[in-house]
Amino acid sequence: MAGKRERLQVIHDILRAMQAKNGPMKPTHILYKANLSSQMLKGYLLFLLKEGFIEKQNEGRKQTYQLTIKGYEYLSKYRHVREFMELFSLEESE
Amino acid sequence: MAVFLRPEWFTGPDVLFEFTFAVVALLVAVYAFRVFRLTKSRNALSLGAGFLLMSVSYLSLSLMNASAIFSIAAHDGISYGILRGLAILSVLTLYTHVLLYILGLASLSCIALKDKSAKAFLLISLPSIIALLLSPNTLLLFHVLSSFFLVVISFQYWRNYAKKKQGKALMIAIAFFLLLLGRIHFIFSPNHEIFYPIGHALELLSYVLILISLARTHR
Repeated sequence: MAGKRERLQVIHDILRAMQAKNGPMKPTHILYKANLSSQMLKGYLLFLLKEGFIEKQNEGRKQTYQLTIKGYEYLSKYRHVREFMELFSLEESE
Repeated sequence: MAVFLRPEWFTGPDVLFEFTFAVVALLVAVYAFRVFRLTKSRNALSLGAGFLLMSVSYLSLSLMNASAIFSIAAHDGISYGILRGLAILSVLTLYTHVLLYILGLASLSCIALKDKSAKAFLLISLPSIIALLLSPNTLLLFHVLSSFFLVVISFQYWRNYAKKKQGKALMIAIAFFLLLLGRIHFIFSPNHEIFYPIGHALELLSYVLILISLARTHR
């Protein structure tokens, strides 16, 4: 069985899913693409909103999420951040 | 005030060595804080705090040794007041160096022990700080305590290398091991002056490895 994903990897998976969609994405789709439980997704979405990596849009009763410029920036820096975390053994599992 | 026994030819270069260590440690700290800003990883914060404390600690040591050189160079034409001021500065910078270095290593030990809580940090650092302040031989105790911390940190990085089998993990493990070897040489430096430059050379090698590893993450 594969081990637990690191927090950094989960954040990356969520943002990559949004990048691939290239537009507003429903939480259920994010949940499916990033392979998360609804409880975990809720926590991560709150974190990503708070940090400004994604933005929430309300279309009637429907809520969607979209990448911000900071989110795109994170994805471009992800490899360097990951290598630094690996170098100093800073990874944290969820 | 001569705190260390060192060969005469190394008086001056040691200041440059310590300044270099301070710069490299600061670079790691800045990068770790940038990673923390992006990821909110507590480990990245602990690493940044640890290296920042070590950087200020090296700067302080560098200042202490520079002031010692100044007081020796200007020994004849200097007033008693200035000499006394330099002696006080030496004591202050020495204690700043010792205390900040231990706090920095305690912060890195928290990552190694996988406990980032403030309680763990206090539990690790407080007894060492109290012992250092009360000890009649602060410097010797400092070298012994920092060696002990570096054993814990090095062991963690060797385990990390054994798990990942990556070149970069090996470089960091070797870097911390060299830092440990350098510290052990400093323990013996009051009796054999040659150990003082050897300790510095080992630390320099260690920081060069850290710098190379850091640069490689940016390729």
